[in-house]
Amino acid sequence: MSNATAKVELTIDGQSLKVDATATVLEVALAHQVEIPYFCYHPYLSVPGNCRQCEVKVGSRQEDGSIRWMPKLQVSCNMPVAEGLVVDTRCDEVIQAQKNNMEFLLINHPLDCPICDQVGECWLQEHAYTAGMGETRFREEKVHMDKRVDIGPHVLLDKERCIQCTRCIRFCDEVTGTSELALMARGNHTEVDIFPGRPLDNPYSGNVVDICPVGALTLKEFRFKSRLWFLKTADSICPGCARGCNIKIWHRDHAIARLTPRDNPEVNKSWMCDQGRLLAPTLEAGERVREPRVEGKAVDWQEALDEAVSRLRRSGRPAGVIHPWSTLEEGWLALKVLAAAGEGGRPMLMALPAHEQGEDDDLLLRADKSPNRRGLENLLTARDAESASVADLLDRAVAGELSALLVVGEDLATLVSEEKLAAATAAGLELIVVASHENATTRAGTIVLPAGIFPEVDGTVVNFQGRVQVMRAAYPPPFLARTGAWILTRLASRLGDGSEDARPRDLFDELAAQVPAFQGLTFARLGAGGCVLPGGACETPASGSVG
Amino acid sequence: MSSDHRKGDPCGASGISDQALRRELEEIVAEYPEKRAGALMCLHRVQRHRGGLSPASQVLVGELIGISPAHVRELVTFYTLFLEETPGRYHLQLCRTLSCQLRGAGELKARIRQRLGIVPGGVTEDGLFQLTEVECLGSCDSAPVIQINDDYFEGLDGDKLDTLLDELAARPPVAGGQG
Amino acid sequence: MAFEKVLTRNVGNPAVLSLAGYEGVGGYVALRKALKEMTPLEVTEEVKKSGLRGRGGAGFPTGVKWGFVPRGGERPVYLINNADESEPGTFKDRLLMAHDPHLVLEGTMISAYALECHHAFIYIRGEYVREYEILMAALTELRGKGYLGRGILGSDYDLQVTIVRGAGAYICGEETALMNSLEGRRGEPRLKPPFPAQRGIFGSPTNINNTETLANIPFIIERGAAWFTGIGKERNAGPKLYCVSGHVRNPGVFELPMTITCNELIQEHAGGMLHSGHPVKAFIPGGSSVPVLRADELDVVMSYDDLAEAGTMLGSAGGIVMDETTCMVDALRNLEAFYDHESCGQCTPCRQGCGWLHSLLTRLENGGGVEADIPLITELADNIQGHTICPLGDAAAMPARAMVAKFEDEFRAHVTRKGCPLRDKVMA
Ligand SMILES: Cc1cc2nc3c(=O)[nH]c(=O)nc-3n(C[C@H](O)[C@H](O)[C@H](O)COP(=O)(O)O)c2cc1C
Ligand code: SF4
Ligand code: SF4
Ligand code: FES
Repeated sequence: MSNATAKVELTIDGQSLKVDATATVLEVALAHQVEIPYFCYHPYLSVPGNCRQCEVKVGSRQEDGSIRWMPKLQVSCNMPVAEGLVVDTRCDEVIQAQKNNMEFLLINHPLDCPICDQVGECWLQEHAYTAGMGETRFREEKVHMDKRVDIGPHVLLDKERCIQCTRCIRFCDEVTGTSELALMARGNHTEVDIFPGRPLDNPYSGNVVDICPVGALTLKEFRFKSRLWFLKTADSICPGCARGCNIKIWHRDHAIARLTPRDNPEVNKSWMCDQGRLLAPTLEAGERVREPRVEGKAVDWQEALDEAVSRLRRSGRPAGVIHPWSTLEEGWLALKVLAAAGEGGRPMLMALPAHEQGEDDDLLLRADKSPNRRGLENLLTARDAESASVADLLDRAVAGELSALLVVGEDLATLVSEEKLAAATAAGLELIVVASHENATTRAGTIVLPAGIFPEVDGTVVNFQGRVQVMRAAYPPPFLARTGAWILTRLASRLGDGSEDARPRDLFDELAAQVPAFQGLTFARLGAGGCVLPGGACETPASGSVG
Repeated sequence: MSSDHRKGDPCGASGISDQALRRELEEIVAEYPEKRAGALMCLHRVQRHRGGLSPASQVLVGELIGISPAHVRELVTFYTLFLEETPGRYHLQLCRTLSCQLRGAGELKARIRQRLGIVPGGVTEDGLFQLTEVECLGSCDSAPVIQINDDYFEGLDGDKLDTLLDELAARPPVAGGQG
Repeated sequence: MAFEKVLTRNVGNPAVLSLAGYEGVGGYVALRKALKEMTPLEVTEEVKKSGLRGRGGAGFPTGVKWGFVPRGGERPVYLINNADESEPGTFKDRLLMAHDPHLVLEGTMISAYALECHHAFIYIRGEYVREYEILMAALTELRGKGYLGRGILGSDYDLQVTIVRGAGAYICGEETALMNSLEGRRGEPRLKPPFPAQRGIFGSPTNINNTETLANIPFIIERGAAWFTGIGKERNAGPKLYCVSGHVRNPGVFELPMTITCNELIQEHAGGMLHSGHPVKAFIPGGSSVPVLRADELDVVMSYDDLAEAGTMLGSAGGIVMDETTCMVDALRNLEAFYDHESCGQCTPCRQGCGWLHSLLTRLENGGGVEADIPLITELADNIQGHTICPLGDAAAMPARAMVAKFEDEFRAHVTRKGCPLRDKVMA
């Protein structure tokens, strides 16, 4: 952000600030930890100013130093900053106005918090608490509306809980452009709804649930209906495509309860697609590899690793296949393993299969369904690896030119026919398989090493924009499985390259120092928002609470 | 009572083809700098021809002016003159606001209930009359007022209302729309 | 000097519905004068000098407002004639459209010229079907005879006029709600800034005036600002249309100078009280949105400034007369039902507050009131007013506060007597 924009000086609650002349009072307040309650404002949507919760007292400083206050409070979300503007967010008048507005918001609200999914992240509940709402003076019948409306494949609407902030509508108008939602009727009977037979069914529909400030919109797939305080969270990156949306993993008992987006203005703003959001069942389907195996027999890790090393070494020039879901660290280690096991002099042979589906859209979704293809390509280039296709490698095995293949994360049978795979193993190809789930490849594997998969993996990935981002594990792999990095450090170390104790962050620093594309980066610099290659300046997003 | 024999004629169901209707709407839209601005006039026109704004009509208008069906429905439900279903042949829109209330709107309501057996929101069984209470019609000097379809009937009292209802009920149904 | 009616001079003369008839009584002379002899800025200046104040409710000086509209910018300028007239008690614009459609059009056309606008809109409330047809017929005749389109009346000024029908929404009389409606959206008022003069319809500078306001323009142009300022009183100049309805013998629209008092209007022009045995109890001078006046307050002059001084407003000059049989709780209930029904619903305080007031007053009227309800009405009014996007919230709050303040005993009696002490009389 180098281009200088005009600045103005204003005062908020006595604090003097020099800010961008195009900002609004609410934006400035949020950026400077001045708390102003609000519902309808959202940083990535237009400003409707309808909830009226964000009113503040505004005035202008006069020549003689006195302040001329505006006669009415102003909504801070639509109040442009100006030179000499004075803002008071704490005076009695403002506090009372906030209380009064909360009272209005609550009179027709069902107050069914004990059975609401939103408990714990309901802004209404939070502000009501802060405003210290007392006994109700509302002696009338509440307006009743439908409480369980199926508005789309993933989303349910409770019209009684809705506070008509229009965030969900604006999202569908302004972000996806699909306009499935609208406000029907008017006045006290205003309600959000769809057109009959035209459900909220766009690839990003789940976002409306995140931005709904109350519990009016809920995700059908929010699993376990957990009370939020029972859930643990980890900040991570969605592995669903090359966008690498920044997400939060909500989990409990080693299972994903839900995935929600985290704000990153450069990558995904505060959105994510439904595919990513609903990734959990796909990840959790199938049978996990429970323990290390050598030629079909369960063995302990020691034996499995030793055996793997001896087979790799014996082959003279082992090749590798790596799934682009793998982290940079896993890729780096896999290359180290191949290099250390090989006889030297000849380049490493490595396949990095493509996983593409559909097309890029103009919001988030990428055809490339892997989170780290660009990162791994950089590593391969840097290490002068010879790239090959999986079919190619298997042909070489049949021709007797290849006797060991390190397979990280891929199921080869999804890339070539099972017959082709069988022909290669029949010709003597030994497969050293690092895998999370049982599949045709693990069944054909000589040595099978049980590995973690998202969200059990710590590491870094590079999205299609070239942004390096940090994936964080939510919980460790199950059974005897270990993370890919754990397994591969041990193989590398047994082959004489590096220590067993290298942590992912050390590995990142090591690779960053050696791979030109990552020059200047360190794990510590990646921060919350990631950094752009090559060695680009860290662009850490302004951390505001974006909900 | 009005001498204009057309006064109070029913609107609706003109039998115009979809294609002809579409052409009319395109003509309306052409008058505005932006297509969407033709929305209200298009909905009025469709309602005049079709009697009510069915989901299919709403989709048609949406396509024509380039907005989603939900955004059309938003208009249909916001503006009280738009009806999703064809009303009774005579849509009695009784003003209930202050000036009419002061001058006997309540009596008219009672009289309608007594004579036709309907309260606001109701339709007579023969589909002839539908009653809606509406807000100030801008005719307070001739209160109490009922708008029936497109026309105002002003300065009513119970007896005048009786005569009017008799007269309307006796009219032969009109084929085709007007205007 | 006798007051001369101009705005309503053609009422009852059906000949003026045709172009020839209207020109026969001096119509379109002002338009020709403006086009041939005056620049747009000169027209604006003349209007400024006349001191004409908006007849739509707020009384803002029209010429000053026109001055806010940027000229010669990249985007076209639009003019809207606000004929949405839906304020309870108001029916003056309807009279103009029904009886003198060419006056409405001429006023619009001269104003468009002054604003260098080439496309003007008339937004007429949807219920006024016949008035729309009359206006449309006049417009069609103008179009056919070269009064509209390219180079009108031999000048090099191009103008197109489009009439748009509303569809049942009081709020669309509010200028920015009208703009949304005209663009094919829900009639929700817009946040300011930006102001219409900067960004109104279609992202362009837009000026909006009431139908009666614009109907004054031909006279100001033809006769000059001095003629206009000679009528009425300072800052409250020109002829004014007053509506009177309710308990009077001769309800109607009266064209008068703004020197008339409420009592004169009711007694002399509107024929006095409907039933001689029932004197006036209360008078709402400016349409339902303004604070009510008691019988003892009716000697006030019905000008913008005098009424403001009396704690109320001229508003849309929709006078509603209530005699002593009227229950003030029920009258207020009726009005709050109106605002509840007409709130667009976007602002929390208006959406919730109007509904609350409506329910509370219904309960109070029906005998379910408690002592605490009475201060609560005022508090709710306070909590709505000034906290909303548009003035509809204020419009719902002001009458409530005034009714309680001025008729508090009657409100209390509803609580103590568990119902309306006047109910039987109201039906009389
Ligand atoms: C709720 C509400 C309803 C209004 N209705 C009307 C109306 O029906 N006609 C009108 O001319 N102005 C109406 N106004 C005032 C307009 O917003 C606007 O001030 C007016 O059209 C400007 O014209 P003027 O300057 O000529 O008075 C209304 C305002 C509000 C807040
Ligand atoms: S459903 Fe939620 S996001 Fe949508 S308008 Fe209601 S409260 Fe706002
Ligand atoms: S004050 Fe009422 S009518 Fe006006 S914008 Fe707000 S909710 Fe709508
Ligand atoms: S956040 Fe400002 S009005 Fe809602």
